[in-house]
Amino acid sequence: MKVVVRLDVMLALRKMKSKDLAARIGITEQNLSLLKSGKVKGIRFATLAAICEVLDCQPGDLLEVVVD
Amino acid sequence: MPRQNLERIRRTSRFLVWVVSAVMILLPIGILLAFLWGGEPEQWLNGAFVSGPTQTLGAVALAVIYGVVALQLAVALGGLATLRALFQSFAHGEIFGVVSSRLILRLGQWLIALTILRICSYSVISLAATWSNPEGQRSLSIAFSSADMLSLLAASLLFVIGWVMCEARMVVEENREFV
Repeated sequence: MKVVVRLDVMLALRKMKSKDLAARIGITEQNLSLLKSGKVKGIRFATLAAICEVLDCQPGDLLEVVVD
Repeated sequence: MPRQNLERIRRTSRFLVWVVSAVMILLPIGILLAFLWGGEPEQWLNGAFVSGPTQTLGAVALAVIYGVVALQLAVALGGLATLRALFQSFAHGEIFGVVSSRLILRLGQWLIALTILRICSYSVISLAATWSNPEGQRSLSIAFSSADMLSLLAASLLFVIGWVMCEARMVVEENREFV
């Protein structure tokens, strides 16, 4: 099982660009891109809370557990 | 870290690179000169041990003594080369990097090896020097001074600090993969 990041789906639903989200939550575009592609080991609660606040969603909308 | 402090560390390290380089050249020359003009080995061995050689040293004994000294010199030069590389790394501004952490760890290993070798060398040289003596006059000296103890503790401390820095570096790398 692995955790898949569905951030790109939420961004599309909210019609928001990655660049704007990165600026609003205070992380670099590069880090946000890594998060979107799932190339990170983890996400801090502070970052997750900031994304949820900006995109008006729940952590479950951004993360999904899938079976390999 | 303030830029001024970093520049000071770099400047000091650049100077120390030269100092260590000079020691690396002068140390073998000094040992060679001591061998060439320091008198016969029997003379300085008599002064260094409680019971020294009573007759001329044989070829095997001399080979063992010179071999032990050469080994000590090789380990000392290895440690100095590591120290030089560490100062070079600092001079390039890499203070908390992977390379400098590994070099500190390696320097600790060199120093531990050198201290243990120094303690063992004393016994080996004393045995080699008195091997040709008549029975009853051969001796095996074992010495462990407070300086050896301090040296071993300092080397161990350096080794552990290097190890901790390597671990800290890995934690930093892992944290970097968290967003």
